[in-house]
Amino acid sequence: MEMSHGSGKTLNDKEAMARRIARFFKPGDIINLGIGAPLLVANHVADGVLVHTENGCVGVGEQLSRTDPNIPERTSLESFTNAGGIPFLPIPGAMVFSHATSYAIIRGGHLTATVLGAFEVSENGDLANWFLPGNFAGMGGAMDLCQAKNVIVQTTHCTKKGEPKLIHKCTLPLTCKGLLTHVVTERAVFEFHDNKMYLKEIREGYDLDNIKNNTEADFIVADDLKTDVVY
Amino acid sequence: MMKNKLASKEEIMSKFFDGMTLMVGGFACAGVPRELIELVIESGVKDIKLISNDAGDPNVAQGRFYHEGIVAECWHSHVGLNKEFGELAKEGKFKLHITPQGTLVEKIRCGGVGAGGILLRAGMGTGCDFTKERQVVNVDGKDWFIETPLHADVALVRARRADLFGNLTYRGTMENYNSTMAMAADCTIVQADQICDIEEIQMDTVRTPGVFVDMILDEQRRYI
Repeated sequence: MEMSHGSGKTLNDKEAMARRIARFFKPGDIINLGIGAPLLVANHVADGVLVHTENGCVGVGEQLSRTDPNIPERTSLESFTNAGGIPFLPIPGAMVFSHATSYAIIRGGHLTATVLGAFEVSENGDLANWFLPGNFAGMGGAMDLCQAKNVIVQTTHCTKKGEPKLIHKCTLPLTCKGLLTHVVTERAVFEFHDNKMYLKEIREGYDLDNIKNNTEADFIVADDLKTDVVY
Repeated sequence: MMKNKLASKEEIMSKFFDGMTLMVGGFACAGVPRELIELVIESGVKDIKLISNDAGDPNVAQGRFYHEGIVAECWHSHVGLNKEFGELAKEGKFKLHITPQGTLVEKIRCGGVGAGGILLRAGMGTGCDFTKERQVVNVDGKDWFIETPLHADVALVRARRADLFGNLTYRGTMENYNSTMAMAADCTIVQADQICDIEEIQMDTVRTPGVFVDMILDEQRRYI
């Protein structure tokens, strides 16, 4: 077990969070994975969990390198790309569709969950993950993805400087207002019900004091709190 | 006898004009009608109003328009991959309307299907700048933004195959905005990887009916 108080942003932690999030899903579920660390969830989901990309595919498979010399034989560089513009191989039975259909899947409640990264999460279920001062990119599909049935945040518990990311009130422009359903950090799992934050699981190697000391957001310890959870 | 919509570069360029509203299909440089973008630039038009998912990469795909300095106003959902765009935006070279992706495509769809708008919620309660320009209505106890239609003078569409009438198919994730934009312009122009005869595309597989298509670039090209 790796102890990583403070920054905690190691590859092992990212893989561990991905493993824990993957356990939310069962065969037949359709999930959208944000660019970056959430993409790791795909490596750990059960057979039959389908990955959706908002530019028009359910059944996203192995991600390929743009510089892979074998790509033209397996797929074309442009034919199957994910939300980050990276080529991938569709799995057998995959389906492709327009952007309009893709967002109908998201908004219409046909997507089981979306997994997103975060800059800040607030105790009432707000998310800020699209805008940093001086680095303006646009929100892309993040605000629309928050209309999904389940909105799961995958984030390190603290910033690189060791400051809490789970706070009373977001200071950055919001991606969604009160729509989060779960937060998974390398230390704990939280759920939101009626815009209140509940601590549901503490990972092996951490304890309630550690979570309290590193979380600014007010949270309720769930009656069925699980401790020593192996991610 | 079905109408043959193949058009020369010159015929296509004659449809472009200063200040036109232009939709361009594609997502993150995939499924972009790059040949047609070059024709817009070659035609010498300026002050275009550009509607597309993103601003491409620097001097690549939709980024060509910014590199050439011919954009006056634009609607995008994401512009983070084009550093050149960021610098020009800071200088105030054009007016930018940043819009959530699913909302952007629905605004375009409204423009294509004769709808006066659609009620959506992306961004509700965030207080972000774009939400302040929106009218809010309450339906059955829930707040919604009134999202108004976007319509274009010209749409540039990238297809996998086009028959001579403009029935289109797409490949993989390259359909993205293309089929929606094809409906939403006065003049829809197609660049296809393969051009084929009437009946060569099985009618059950057509994704964009040719009724939405006005012109097809008359050049057989194959993109890898």
